[in-house]
Amino acid sequence: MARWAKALGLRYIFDEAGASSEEGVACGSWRLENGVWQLGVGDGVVRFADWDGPAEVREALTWTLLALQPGDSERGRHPLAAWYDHCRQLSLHALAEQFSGEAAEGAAMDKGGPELGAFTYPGYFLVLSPLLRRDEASDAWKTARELMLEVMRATLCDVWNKDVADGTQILTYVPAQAFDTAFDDLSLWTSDHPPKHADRTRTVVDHLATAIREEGLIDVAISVSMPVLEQAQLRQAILSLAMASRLHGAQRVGGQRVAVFGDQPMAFLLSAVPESALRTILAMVSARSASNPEEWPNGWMELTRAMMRANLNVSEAARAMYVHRNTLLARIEKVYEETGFDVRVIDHLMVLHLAALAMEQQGAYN
Amino acid sequence: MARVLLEHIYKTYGGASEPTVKDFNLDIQDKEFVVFVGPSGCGKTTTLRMIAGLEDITDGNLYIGERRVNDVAPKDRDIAMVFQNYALYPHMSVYQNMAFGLKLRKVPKAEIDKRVQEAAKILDIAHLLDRKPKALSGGQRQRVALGRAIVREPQVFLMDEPLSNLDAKLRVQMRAEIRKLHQRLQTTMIYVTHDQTEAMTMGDRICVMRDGIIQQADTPQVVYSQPRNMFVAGFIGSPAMNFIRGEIVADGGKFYFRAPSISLELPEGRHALLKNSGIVGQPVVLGVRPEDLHNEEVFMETYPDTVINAQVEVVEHMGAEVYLHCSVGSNTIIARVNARYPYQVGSNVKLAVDLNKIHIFNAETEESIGFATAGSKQEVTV
Ligand SMILES: Nc1ncnc2c1ncn2[C@@H]1O[C@H](COP(=O)(O)OP(=O)(O)OP(=O)(O)O)[C@@H](O)[C@H]1O
Ligand SMILES: [Mg+2]
Repeated sequence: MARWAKALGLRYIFDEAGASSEEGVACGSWRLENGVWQLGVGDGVVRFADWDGPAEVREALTWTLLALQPGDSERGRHPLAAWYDHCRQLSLHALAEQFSGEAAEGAAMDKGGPELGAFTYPGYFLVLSPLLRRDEASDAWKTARELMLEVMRATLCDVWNKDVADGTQILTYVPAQAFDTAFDDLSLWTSDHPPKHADRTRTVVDHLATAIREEGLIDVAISVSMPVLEQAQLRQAILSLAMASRLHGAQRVGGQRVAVFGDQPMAFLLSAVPESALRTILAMVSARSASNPEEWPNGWMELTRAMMRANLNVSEAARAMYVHRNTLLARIEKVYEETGFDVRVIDHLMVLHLAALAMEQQGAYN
Repeated sequence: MARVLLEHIYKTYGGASEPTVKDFNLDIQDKEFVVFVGPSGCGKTTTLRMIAGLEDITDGNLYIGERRVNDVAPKDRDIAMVFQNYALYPHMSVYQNMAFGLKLRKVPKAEIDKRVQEAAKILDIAHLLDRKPKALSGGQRQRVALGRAIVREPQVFLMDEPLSNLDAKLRVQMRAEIRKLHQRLQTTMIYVTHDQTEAMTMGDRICVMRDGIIQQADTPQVVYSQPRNMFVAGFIGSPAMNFIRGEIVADGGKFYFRAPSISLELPEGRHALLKNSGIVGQPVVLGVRPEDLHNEEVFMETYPDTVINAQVEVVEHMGAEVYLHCSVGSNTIIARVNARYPYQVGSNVKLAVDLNKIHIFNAETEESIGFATAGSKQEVTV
């Protein structure tokens, strides 16, 4: 920093996060305040006094400063990896805010390292986190890492990858083409339900998670970004990736370990709702029923989910839940009696769905 | 080759107030084929994942072979797992798919080749080794997925609903294949399914679970003919066992099961049991399987006292058999009868109950009082 300042003849002040009462500036982004350029550097803000800060110089400064964070000097941090790590630290609210802000500005990343130019578009970022048990040996991560990359290579193609999150996750970039090819070659769908394009990626990622689990007996959580259509979207895509991975936390059901950005807008919406509002929503829902949601019959959440997935078709939901249609009808009646909501009615089903998501979200708070 | 022993196993997920798996005790013998079966959410997968080491064990002991493995990493437990969504590598041949895991483990080439060839022979896919997954049928892919597990030569195979993605016909065929495979490999296998038919046809022993608790673990025959409680009785068998609420009445030295429009005199051989179980005068549930209701003349002439009158509501044709959905008083029951006779909706039928095969459950606890068990014992001694 000092060297740069000297070379450019700049004066700067470093403010540690929390030192000032103002809102911080996100790591890697610039803000002009009262004629003073400020750069967020993760643990604080650097202010540049008396400087008009041309865009190119600022961009160059960003990369130089953030790509060489202390402690990472040996490996040399890749800007995208650094950006991902930064995004991980943000709250979901801050992420969402930046995401929409970035969308408006269309913030470019085109002056990034040479590797960035080599990406094929469109594509997706994936982050893979092996869920190692706490008592596993220290070389477990290394083994897991090797294995995950081998399996990715075998399933998709050679992928660009970087270690992130202090070397506990791998950030990868996969061209959309690789997903399509894998999907077609595996013919993963049953003939009567060929999935739509968006689901293809998801299907292949599910497959990838299974392969890793089977091959190495490792559970892995995989998050998938929005599709990256061009280089200018790289930063925003990483933001979307961080948001997807954050939703894992709220999603405890069924051991689902794959989160795709855009798959769960409802869950995302609820994650942005303050806890007090969530409590009120649940109170409104239970006002209609004889008991609190905590006391509702076992399986109302599964029932709700199954009915949503089956488009309110009882027979299809029954098939998906592996129960007889009559058994399911009996359960539907029971849930109706207890909750006052009938999952065969779309309005009711939506309320129950909302309540289920709200409870999951509350669980994530606790 | 290994025995798998689960001792007082509990699993409580983080944040959950109650355990998902409770006091699970099971001694799985070396080379045994055990099936975990139960409704969705009963904890089958959780238990299997604890055996694999993918899930921490909250409490209890798990042994594979002689070794306590609670704290052993999954990859060091010498197991292989096969899932519903079998993972094949799209750009590799069948041979490479099977060899992949061994290559990662740095097994010598000659050894890999030997194992792959052997597994291919066992699975009858030797002629497919050069093909890519795309050029395989669903059943062939399933076999390759099994092959990938076999070449690892694990001590224990764990399978979580491996067949549920296949169509019905293929599923039936693959069940038999997996049974055969088990006989050839002579390895311990633990197989999870929600499908009671699959469990009945595949397991040496089946372990029926509900809400994280073992309800009964025994051979398919025993679980079917002597279910320990109403849950097991209703879950195993298709169509499901008929349940009729009523009570046991003592009258002039005889015992009857009575319910609206039904009175059945219970066999003398069970009198002692009825007295001892303290069930007389109490509400009970009578259980009778659809195939134990008979409409053959011979049966009704021989056992005239066992006949109940029913009205046909629905006739379900199944080919050689017919499922008659009938009403008896306020109850609906299903009888599985021969398709030779004509049946008309709305008509009355007489159905004779095979009293040696009925079950009586305490209406409150839903536990069996051992009626069928007592019967079978008696038949042996007489
Ligand atoms: N990671 C988890 N965290 C919290 N609860 C979980 C987790 N995984 C599973 N559960 C819960 O534990 C219970 C048992 O789940 P499990 O997957 O073992 O059931 P299962 O018998 O395999 O059901 P299925 O037939 O649907 O596969 C369910 O209520 C499920 O929601
Ligand atoms: Mg399961």
